[in-house]
Amino acid sequence: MSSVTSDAVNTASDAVAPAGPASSTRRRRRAPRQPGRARRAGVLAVGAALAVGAVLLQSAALSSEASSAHLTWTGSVGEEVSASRFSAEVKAIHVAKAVEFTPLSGKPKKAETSGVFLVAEVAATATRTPQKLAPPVLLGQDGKRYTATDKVDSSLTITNPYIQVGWWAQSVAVFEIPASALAGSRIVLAPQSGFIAEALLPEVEVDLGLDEASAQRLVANAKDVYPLASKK
Amino acid sequence: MTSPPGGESRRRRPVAVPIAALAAVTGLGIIAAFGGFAETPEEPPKQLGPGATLDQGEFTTKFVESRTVVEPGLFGTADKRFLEVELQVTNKGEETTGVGSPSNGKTPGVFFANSLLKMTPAIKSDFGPSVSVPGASSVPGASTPSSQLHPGMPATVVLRYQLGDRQRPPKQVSYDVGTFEYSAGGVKSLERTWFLVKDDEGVNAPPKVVAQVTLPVRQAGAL
Repeated sequence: MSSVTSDAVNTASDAVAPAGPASSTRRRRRAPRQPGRARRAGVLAVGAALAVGAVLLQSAALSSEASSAHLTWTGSVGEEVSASRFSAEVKAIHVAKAVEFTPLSGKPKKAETSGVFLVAEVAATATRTPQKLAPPVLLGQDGKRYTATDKVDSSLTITNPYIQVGWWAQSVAVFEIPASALAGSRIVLAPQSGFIAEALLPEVEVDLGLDEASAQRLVANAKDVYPLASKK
Repeated sequence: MTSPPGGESRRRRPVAVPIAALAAVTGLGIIAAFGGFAETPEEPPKQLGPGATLDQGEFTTKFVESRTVVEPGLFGTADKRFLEVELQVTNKGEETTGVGSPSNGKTPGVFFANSLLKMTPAIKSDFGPSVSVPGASSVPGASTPSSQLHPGMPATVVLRYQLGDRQRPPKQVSYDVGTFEYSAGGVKSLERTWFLVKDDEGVNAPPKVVAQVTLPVRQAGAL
C-alpha cells in the first residue's frame, strides 16, 4: 500500500515538475500559431487538391484493353507498310474452297472447310533485329478476330521464317473464315511477343479493300483447290 | 422525450417505436414463413440426350453421338479401340479459340473442352482424350485436323478415348457440362476473358453444372 501511494506521489510530482517548462513551451508555440492558421488551411487545401487529383488521374489510366493494345500502322494491299520494328506487305490475296500442300515429311494434304480459305501472299523484313511473326489475324468488319488456320502446316506460312534485316521473307498467311467475314476485313501482322508481354508492340494492319460486291465476286470465283507451294 | 404537461400529452404517447417493432416482427415473420434469407435452391442441371443443343455462353454445343471405333493394328499388332464422342460446336465469341482439353487429374482443362467437367463412367488415361476437329477430307489420309474454333463457324469436335486391351466400352457415357461467362480476372488480372461459371463466389468453388448429357454408345460391329 505504502509503495503504491509513494508511486502515486512520485508520478504526481513528476507530472507537476515539468509543468513550468511545458506551459512556457505552450506559450512559445502559441505565438507562431496565430499567423499559421492560414498556412495550415492552405496546406490542407493543397493536400486535398493532391488527393482529388490522384483520384481523378485514375480515370485517365489506360484500361486493360488499351494497355495490351498494339501500335498500329495501316496500309492497303500492294503497299509496303513500315511499323517500328518491321515492314510488311500483303502482295495479293486469293480465295479458295480447299488448300493443298505437302508438309516437309509425308504425303500431300488437303485442308477443307465449311467456309472459305483466304490465302494472302505476305512479305516481311525487319528493321534492326531478326524476329518471328506471330500467327496473323484476320480482323473482320464486325471486330471478330480469326487467327490463321492450323490446318495448313505452319512451316509453310509466314510464321515460320525468321524475318531478317536486309531482305524480304516471302510466304503466305492462310485464314479459314466464313464467306461473310470477307467484306471489309483487314489482315493484322505483329511480331511474336515474348514470355513477358510487352506493351504497345507494333503491328501492321492491311485493309484488303473489299466491299460486299467484290467480296461476293471473290467467293463466287473461288478456286476449288489452292495449291500451296511446298518448301524448296 | 419530455412531453409538455397537459391533456394532450396522453394522445402524444410515443407509439412510433412499438409500431416499428411490430412491423419489424411481422416482416421477419413473413420472411421466415417464406423460407428466410437462405438462397433459393438453384434449378437442377438440365438432362439432355443425343442431338440436344446447349448454350454454353461462349459456345453453342450440339451433342451428336458417342460410338466405338476400331483401328486395325499395323504389322500384326493388336487392334486399337477407341470411344469417340462427337459434338458440333459453334464459337459465339469474338475471336478464335481452341478445342482445348478437359481437366485430367491434377491437370486443369483449357478452352472449350474444359466445360466437360466430369465423365461417367470415367475412361482413365495418362493424358486424357485427344480432342480435335478432324478435318474430314475427301481424300483418305490427306485430312488436316485442327484444334481451332473460329468465331461463327460450326465445327465437328471429336473426343477420342483409347480403350485398354481388355476394357469393355460402356453402354452409355454421360457428362457434367459447365458454361462460360465473359469476365475480368485470370493471369493478367484485369483482362476480360471467358471463364467457367462457378457454383459459388469463392476462388476454389467448383464449376457449376448446367446440364448433364447422356449419350448411348453405338457399338462397332467387330466388338
